[in-house]
Amino acid sequence: MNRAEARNVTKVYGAHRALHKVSLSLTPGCVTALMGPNGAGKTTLLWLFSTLSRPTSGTMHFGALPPERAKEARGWIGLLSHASLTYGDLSGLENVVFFGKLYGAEAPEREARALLTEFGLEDAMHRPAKTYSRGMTQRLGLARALIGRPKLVLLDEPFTGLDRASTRTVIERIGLLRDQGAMVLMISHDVETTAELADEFAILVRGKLKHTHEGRLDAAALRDEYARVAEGAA
Amino acid sequence: MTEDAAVAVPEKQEPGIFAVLRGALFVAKKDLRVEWRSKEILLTTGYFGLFVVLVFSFSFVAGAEKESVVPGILWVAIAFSGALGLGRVFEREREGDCIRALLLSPIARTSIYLGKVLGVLVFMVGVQAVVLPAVWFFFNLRLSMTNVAYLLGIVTLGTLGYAIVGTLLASMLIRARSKDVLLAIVLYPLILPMLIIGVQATGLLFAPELNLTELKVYLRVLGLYDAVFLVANLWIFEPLLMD
Amino acid sequence: MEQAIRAELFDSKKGLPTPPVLVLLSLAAAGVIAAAAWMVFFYAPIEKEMGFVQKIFYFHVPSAWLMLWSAPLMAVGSIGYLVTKKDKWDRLSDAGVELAIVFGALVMITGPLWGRKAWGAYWVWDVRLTSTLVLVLTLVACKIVRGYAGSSAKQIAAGLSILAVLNAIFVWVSVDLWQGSHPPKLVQTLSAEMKSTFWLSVLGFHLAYGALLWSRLRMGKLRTALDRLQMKAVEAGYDD
Repeated sequence: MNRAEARNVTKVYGAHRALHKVSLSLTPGCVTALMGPNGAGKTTLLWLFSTLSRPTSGTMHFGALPPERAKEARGWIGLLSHASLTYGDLSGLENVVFFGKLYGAEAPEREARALLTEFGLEDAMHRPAKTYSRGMTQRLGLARALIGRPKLVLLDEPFTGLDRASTRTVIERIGLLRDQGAMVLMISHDVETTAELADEFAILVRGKLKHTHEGRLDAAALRDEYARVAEGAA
Repeated sequence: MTEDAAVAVPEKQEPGIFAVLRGALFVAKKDLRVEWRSKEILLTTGYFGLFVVLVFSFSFVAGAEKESVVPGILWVAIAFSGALGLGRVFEREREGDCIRALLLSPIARTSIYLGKVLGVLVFMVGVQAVVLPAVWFFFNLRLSMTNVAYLLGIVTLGTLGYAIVGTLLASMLIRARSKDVLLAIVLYPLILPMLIIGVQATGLLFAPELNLTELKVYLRVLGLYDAVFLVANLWIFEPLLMD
Repeated sequence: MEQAIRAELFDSKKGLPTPPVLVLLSLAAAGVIAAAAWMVFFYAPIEKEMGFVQKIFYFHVPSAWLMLWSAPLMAVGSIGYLVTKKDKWDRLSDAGVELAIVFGALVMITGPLWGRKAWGAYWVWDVRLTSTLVLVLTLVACKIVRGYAGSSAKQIAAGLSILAVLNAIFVWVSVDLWQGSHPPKLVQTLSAEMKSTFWLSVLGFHLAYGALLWSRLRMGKLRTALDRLQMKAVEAGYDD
C-alpha cells in the first residue's frame, strides 16, 4: 500500500460537525504531524484513516482500493490510540503474540519478544498488562501497533506518559519506520519531539484544515507557525 | 502481504473457511486464557447459578412434584446465569477498547463472532457443570445413565443456541448505554423457543417411561434452531459493527 | 442557505402538504370501517354457539392478517437496510415494526376476549396467541433498543427485527409441539350476512393499513429530510 488519502471528508456526529471538508494525503517515507487545539477533530481524522469510522461525505483512499472497499486495507494499518487496546488480564507478551497471530505474523512469539525488548519491556513482558504503569502501557500499545508490520502507522499522542529514555526509543523507532517507507500520521502536542520527527505538518482548527506545511521545521519556527494559525483562526 | 501495483485494483479476496475458523480459534483461545487468569466469569456466574437453584429449591420445597419443577429450575438457572456471563465477556472487550483492536485487525468479522460464540459456549458449559449437579443433589434425582446422556445432549444443544443468539445481541449492544438491561429485554424473548423445548425435553426424562420419539423431535428442533440462527447471525454480524 | 432549505422542504415532490390521495385513502378507510362496524352490530346475525362475543371475529381476524403482512414488510426492509445501508429501507423496516406492534396488540386484546367464551379462560397457551405475544414483545424490545442504542441503532434494529421474525416461527413450532392438543378450533359456518360483513371489515382494515403505512413512511422521509437539513446547516457552520 503506497497511498492513504482523505479527500474532502466531512464527519458529522448528530448535530456536531467534527470535520469539515478536510483533504490530507500521506506520503510513504514521511511523518505527518497533526496538530491543533483540543476538540479540533484530530482524533476523528485518525479514526477515519483507521477505516473503522467512515466519513459522512467525501472519500478515503487506501492504495488502489476503491473507497467502498477501504476496510480491506486494515491489515496494513497499525494504530496507537488513547485506549490501551490490550487485555489487562493477559501478559504483555501474550497480548502482542495474540495480535501478531491475527495479523498473520510468521513467527509471532519471536517478533513480539523482539518488539517488547526494543521498547524496554523485557523484564515486564510476563506480567499482566493491568499492572503496567502509564508509560509501560503506552510502549506495549506501540509494540501491539507494530506487530503487523504496518505500512500506515497512526499514532495518537505517542509520547504521553513516557520518560526521557523511552521517548528517545520511540522517536528512533518512528524514524526507522519512516526510513522503511511507512506512512506515519502522528497527533502530538509536544512541539520539541514533533519538530524533531515530522516532515510535514497539518494544523486543524474546529474541524477545518487551516494550514499545511511540507518540509521540516525547527521547534521555534513550528511554535511560531502554530501560534499564528491557531490565533488567526480564533 | 504483497506490495500492490501502482494502479491495479487488488482482487477482492474472501477469506476461506479454514482461515475464518483459524481466526475464530485464536479469539476463543484468547478468551479462555483471559478467563483462566482471572477465573472471574466461572466463579461469579457459577455461584450465581447455584443460588438460582437454591432459591427455587426453597420455593418449591413443600412437596411439589419434582418432575414438574426441576426442568423449569434448570433452564431458568441456565438462562439467568448465561445473561450474566454474556455481559461480562463483552465488558472485557470494551475495557481498553479491545473490540476496536479486534475489528481493526485483518481477520474476518465472522471469525470474531464465531470465536466469541465458542468462548461463551465453553463458559456456559462450565457454569452448568455446577448447576446440573446442584439440581441433581438438592432434588434427589434418580436418572439412568442413558437419561443422563440425553440430558447432556439437550443442555448442550440448548446452550449452543443460547451462545449463538446471545453473542450476537451482546456484541450489538457493546457500545449502548444501559446495555445490561437492553441485553436482557432482547435476549429473553429470542431464546424463548429454546427454553420451551429445553424444558419439555428435560421433562420427558423424568417420566416413568422415556418417550423416545418425542424426545428425538425436540432434539431435532433444537438443532434446527441452532443452525438457522447461526446462519442468520453470521450474515447479520458482518455489517453490524461499524462506527 | 435559507433559500436552499426552503427549496428542499417545499420541493414539489417531497412537499409538505399531505398528498390528496393519502387524504382520500384515510377518509375511505374511516368510512368503510364505520360501515363495517355498523354491519357488525346491526346487520350480521348473532352466532348461535358463541353469541355476541363472536362479533370480535370481525376485528380479530383482519388484525391478525395485517400483523402477518407486516412481518415480511419489516424483514424486507431490514435485509435491504443491512445490504444497502440506505435510509429508505430502514424507514420501511421501522414502519413494519410499528404496524406489527399495533395490530399485534389488537390481536392480543381481542384474542383473550374470544378465548374467555370459547375456551373458558382469557389466556391459553395457544400457538397463535403465544407466537403473537412473543413477536410483539420482541418488536417492542426492538423499538426500545432503537431508542437507546446510539449511533448504530438502525443496524441493530434491522438485525433484531429479522431475528424476531425467525423467532416467531420457532415459537410457533415449539408451542405446537408442547401443546399437543390445541384448544378446539371453532369451525365457522358463516351465513351470507356474516360473510359480507367480514369482507367489508377486511377491506376497511386494509385501507386503514395502507393509510397508516403511507403516513409512517412519509413521516420517516420528512424526518430524514429534516436531519439532512440540520446536517447541512451544521456543515455550513451554523454549529450546534
